[in-house]
Amino acid sequence: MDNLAVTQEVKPPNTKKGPVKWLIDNLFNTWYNTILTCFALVFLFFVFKGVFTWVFTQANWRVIPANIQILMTGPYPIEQIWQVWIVLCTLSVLLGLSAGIWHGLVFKLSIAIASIGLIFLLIPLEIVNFIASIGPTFLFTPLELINKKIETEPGTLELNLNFISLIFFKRRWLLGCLVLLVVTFFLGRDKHVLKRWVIGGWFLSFPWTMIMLHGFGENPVSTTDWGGLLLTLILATVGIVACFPLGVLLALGRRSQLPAIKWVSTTYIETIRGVPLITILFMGSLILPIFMPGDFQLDKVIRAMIGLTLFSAAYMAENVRGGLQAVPQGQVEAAQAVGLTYPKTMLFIVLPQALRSVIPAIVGQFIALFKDTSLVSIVGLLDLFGIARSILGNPKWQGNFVEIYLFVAAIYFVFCYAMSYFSQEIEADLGVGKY
Amino acid sequence: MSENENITNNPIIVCEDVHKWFDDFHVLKGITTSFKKGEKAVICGPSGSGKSTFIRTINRLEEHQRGTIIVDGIELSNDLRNINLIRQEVGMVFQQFNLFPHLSNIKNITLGPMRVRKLSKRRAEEEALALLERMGIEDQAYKYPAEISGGQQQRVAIARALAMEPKIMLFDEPTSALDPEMISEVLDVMRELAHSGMTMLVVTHEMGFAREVADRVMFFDEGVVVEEASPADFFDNPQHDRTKLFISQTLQH
Amino acid sequence: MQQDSTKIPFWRDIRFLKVFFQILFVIGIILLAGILYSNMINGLSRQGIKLDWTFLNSEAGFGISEGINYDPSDSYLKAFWVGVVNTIKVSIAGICCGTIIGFFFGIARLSSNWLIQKIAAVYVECFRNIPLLLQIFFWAALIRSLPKIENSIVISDNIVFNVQGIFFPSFAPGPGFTTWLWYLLGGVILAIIVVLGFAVFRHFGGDHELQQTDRPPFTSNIIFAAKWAAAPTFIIVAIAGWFLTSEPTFAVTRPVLQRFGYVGGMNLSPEFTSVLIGLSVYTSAFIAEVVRSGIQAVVKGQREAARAVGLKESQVLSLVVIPQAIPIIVPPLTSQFLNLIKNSSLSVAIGYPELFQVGETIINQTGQTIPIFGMIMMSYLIMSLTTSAFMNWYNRRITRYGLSR
Repeated sequence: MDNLAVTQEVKPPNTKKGPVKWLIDNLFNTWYNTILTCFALVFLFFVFKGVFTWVFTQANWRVIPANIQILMTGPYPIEQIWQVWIVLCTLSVLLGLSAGIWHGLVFKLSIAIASIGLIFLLIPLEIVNFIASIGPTFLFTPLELINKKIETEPGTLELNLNFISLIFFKRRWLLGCLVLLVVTFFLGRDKHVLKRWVIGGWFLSFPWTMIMLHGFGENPVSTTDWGGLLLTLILATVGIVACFPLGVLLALGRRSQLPAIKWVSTTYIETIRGVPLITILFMGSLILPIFMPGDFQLDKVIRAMIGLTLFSAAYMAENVRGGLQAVPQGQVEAAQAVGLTYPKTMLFIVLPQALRSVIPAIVGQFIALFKDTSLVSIVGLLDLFGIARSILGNPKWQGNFVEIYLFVAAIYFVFCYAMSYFSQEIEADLGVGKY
Repeated sequence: MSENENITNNPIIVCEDVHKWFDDFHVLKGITTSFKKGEKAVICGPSGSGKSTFIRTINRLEEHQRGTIIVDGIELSNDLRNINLIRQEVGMVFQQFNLFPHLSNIKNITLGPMRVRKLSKRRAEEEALALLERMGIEDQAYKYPAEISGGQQQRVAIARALAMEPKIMLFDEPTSALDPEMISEVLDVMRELAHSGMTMLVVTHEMGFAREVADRVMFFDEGVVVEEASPADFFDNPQHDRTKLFISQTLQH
Repeated sequence: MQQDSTKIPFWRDIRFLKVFFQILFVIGIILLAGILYSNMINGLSRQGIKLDWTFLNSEAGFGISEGINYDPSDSYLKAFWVGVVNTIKVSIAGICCGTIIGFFFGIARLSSNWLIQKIAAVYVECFRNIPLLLQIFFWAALIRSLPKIENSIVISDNIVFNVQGIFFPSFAPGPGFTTWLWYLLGGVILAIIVVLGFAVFRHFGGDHELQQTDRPPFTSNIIFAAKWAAAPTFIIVAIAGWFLTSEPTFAVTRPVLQRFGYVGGMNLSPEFTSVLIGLSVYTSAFIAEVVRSGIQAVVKGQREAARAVGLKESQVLSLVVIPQAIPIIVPPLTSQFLNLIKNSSLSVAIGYPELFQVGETIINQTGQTIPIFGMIMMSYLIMSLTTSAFMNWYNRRITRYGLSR
C-alpha cells in the first residue's frame, strides 16, 4: 500500500492560481485583513468620489492655461523667450548624444523626457479652456449640445482644430527640441570617440545656459526677470553644482590631521546644519549687503544662489565625508607606496571611490534642495512657487488656490519622484564589484 | 639554496636603534640591522611582534620615533623630498593587495609611472604589459580587480610595485589572504623576482619559501630581533628557546 | 626627537610644513574676517546703526497674536522669548503628531494587506515629494476658506471649526484647585516618607537575597521601594484629596459664541493649525520611511529564530523585531526631529509668530540685523543640540539595557 502511494503522481494540494487566488492571498487572508480591506475600500470610494466630483465639476482649470507662460518662465520677456528655447535645444543635443553613446540609464532618462515633451507637444492645452467654457457638467452634456454651442458661440471655442499649424507654428520650438533629441541620438550612437567632447559639452552647458538666458547685446534679461519653473531649476542646479567643490574641500578639511583646518571646517559644517535654510537666505538678503564693500551690490537672485550654495555645501560635505570613510585605509597606503603625493592620492584614488559610493546620497540632497528652492519665494523671488503665490494675489484667481497649488505640487512631485526613481536605478547600477 | 652572486657588500638599508610606539605601546624596541644590495631577507615571528610595523617604517607608512633609517643613502626623516624619493625606490606589496577597485588592472599599474615618473601613456602601458606577461597574467590587463582571483590580484599588485622600477621590494605577508591553491602562483613570481637580483624584505609564514630563497632569516618577537641567521642555521640549528618553539609550531602543520 | 632635524631645509620639513599650512590657513581666515568686519562697520555706519545690545531692553511696541503672556509695552527681549516659546510649542506638537502618524504609516507599509500597503505608499510618496512650504500654504488657504464665524461647523456642541481656527473644550482650574494642590503636595511628602521608611525597613529587616545589582544596597532598596510604594501612595492621596475638596477642582470650558466670535475652550489659531498639520504630515512621510527601513533591517534570521523558539507572531514582533529595530530607527528619527524644528521656521511665511517671525519684526523695527540673527541662530543651535543630546542619551540607554527595562 505504502509503495503504491509513493509511485502515484502526487499533486500539491490547493493549486488555485489567478486573480481569485491573488485576492485571497493579499486582501482576505485573515479575518482582520478582510475587515481592513473593506474599510479601505469604503475609504477609497469616498476619496475618489470626492476628488472626481471636484476635478470634473467644481474645479476651474482655466487658471492653468491662462497662466502657464508665467508659471514656466516667470516675468521673462516674451519676445526673448527664444533664448530659453536655444538653451533647451542645446541640452537636447547633449542629451541625445549622451543617450546614443552611453545607453543604459541616460537612454532611459531621455526616453522619459522625450515622452513628456511629446505629451506637451500633442496635448492641446486649449481643450481645457474649451471644457471650462462649456461648464462643469461637460461629461454629461450630449454631443449635439456641444456642437450647437460651437456653432452658436464661436468665440468661446479657442480649440484650434488645425493640429498641424498648432504643432508646427505655435510649438515649433518644442518640436525642434524633440527632433534634435532623436536625431542626435542616432548620430551619436556608439560613437565612443565623441565621449570626451560630450563630457566637455556638459561642463560648458552650464556657463552657456547662464550667458544665453542673460542674453547679450542691447536687451539683456536681468536675473530679476528670471522666474517660474526656469528659476527653480536654475537655482537647484547652481546650488548643487557650485556647492560641490566647496563641499569636497570641507569634507577633506574635516578629516584633515591639521587641527586648525579641521576645527574651522567642522564649525562651519555643524553651524550651517544646525540652522534653517531660511535664516541663511535672510542673511543673504539682509546681512550680505552690510558686508559688501562700498556701493557694490548683488541682485537678489545672485544672493539667493550664494545662500543656497553655502547652505548645501555643508550637507554635501557630510555626504562626501561618509564616502571618504568608506574608502579603506589600505587604498591610501597603497597609493603612498606607489609614490603618489597627498593631493594626487586624493584626486586619483580616494575621491573617485568616495564620490561613486555617495551618488545616491547626492541625488537625495539634490531632491531636498529642489524642494527647498521654494523658500526663495519668502525673500521675494518669483520661482515656481513664488509665481503661484503671485497668481493667487490676483483677485481674479483668488478662489482657485486648490487648482494652482495642485498643479505646482504636481510639477514638484514629478521632478522629485523621477529623481528618486533614477537614484534607485543608479544605486542598483553601482552594485558590488561593478567598478 | 640560492647562493647569490649579485649580493654586494655595500648596505642599501641601514637601520639603527629604530623605536616606534603606538600611543604607549612600544612596538619596536631598538632595531639595529642592515640589508645589502641584492639581499633577500625573510622576516618571521608571531603576530604582534612588530615585523609588519618594521617593514612599514622603511617606506614611511609608519613614522619611527627614534633612531635612524637610511635607504640607499637617503635618510628617512621629516624631509618631505626624501620621503617621496624613498617611496619611489621602495616598492610594497600588501597582505590585502590594496588594488584600486575603480581602475582596471593595467591602469592600476600605469598610475605610478604616469603620475610620478611622468612617463607617456604609451610607454607606461608597454611596460605594464611586459610586467603582466612576466607575471603570467597578460590576458587580465583590461579587467577590473574585482573580476580576477586573489592570486591574480596579488600578482597585479606585485606588477604595480615593480612598475616604479624600485631598488627594494617590501612584501607584507603577501600570501596570508590567499586560498592555498593560489599561494604557489604568487610564490613562483616572488621566486623569479628573487633570482633576478632584487633586494627583497619579505614578512611571511611560508617557511619553505624562506628556506629556499632567503639569504637571511630574521625572527622578531616583542619588538626586538631575537635571532637572525642563514636559513640553514635558522631552521636546523636555532639558538634561542623562543625561536625553537616558533619553528616547531610553524613546521608542525 | 628626530636626531638631525637641523640638516633638513625648512621648506621640506614635514613638521614645519604642517604648522606653516595651518598658520597660513588661520591668517587667511582672519584676513577674510577682518575684511568682512571692516565692511560691516562701514555698512552699519552707512545705515546709521550702532552695534550694541542695549536695544533689547527697550519697549517692543508691537503685538504678537498668540503665545505666552506678553504686552506690546514689554521689551524686545521678552518679545523674542515669546517667539522662542512658540517655536518650541509647535515643534513639540509637530514631533508628537508626526511620530504617531509616521509610525502608523510605516507599519502600514509593511502590512500583509496589499491595499493598505499601497495606500500607505501613496501617502508617503505624495507628501515627501512636495515642498513643505507649499503644503503649509495649502493648509493655510484651506483653513482660510472655512466658513465664517456665523456659519461655523459645530460638532456635538463642543468642537468648532471656522476661519478663526479650531476650538476644543478644555479644562481650567476651578475654585477648589488650590485646595487640591495642597493635597498633592501632602501626597508627595507622604510618598517620600513611605519610600524612606520602606527602604529602611527592607535594609535592616528584609531579605538580602534579592540584591543582585552592583548598586550600593541602600540605594537599591530605595529604588525598589520607589517602584512599589511611591506611585500608589501618591495616587491614593491625590484621589482622596479630589473627593475631600468640596468645590470642583476643574471646570470644563466650552467654546461659546459671543459677539466677536467663539470664546473659551482651547483655540488652535489658523496659523498654528496649518503649520502643525504641514509639519506633522510632511515629517510623518519621512518618519514612515525610517520606520519601514528600520524594521526591514532586522535580519530575517532573527524572525525565523524567534518562530523556531515557538513565539507567536505578535510576540515575534514585540519581543524580537521591535527591540532590535528601535536602535536602528532612533538616529535617523533624531535627524527628522531636527529637520522638523528647523522647518518650523517656515511659519514665518504665513505669519505664525515663532522665533524667526518675531526676530524679523524686531529687525524691521530696530535695524539691528546682526545681533538678532546671532540670537536666532544661537536659539536654533541650542534647540538642535538639546534634541540630539536627548535622543543620543535615549539611544544609549536602550542599546545598553534593551527596551524591556
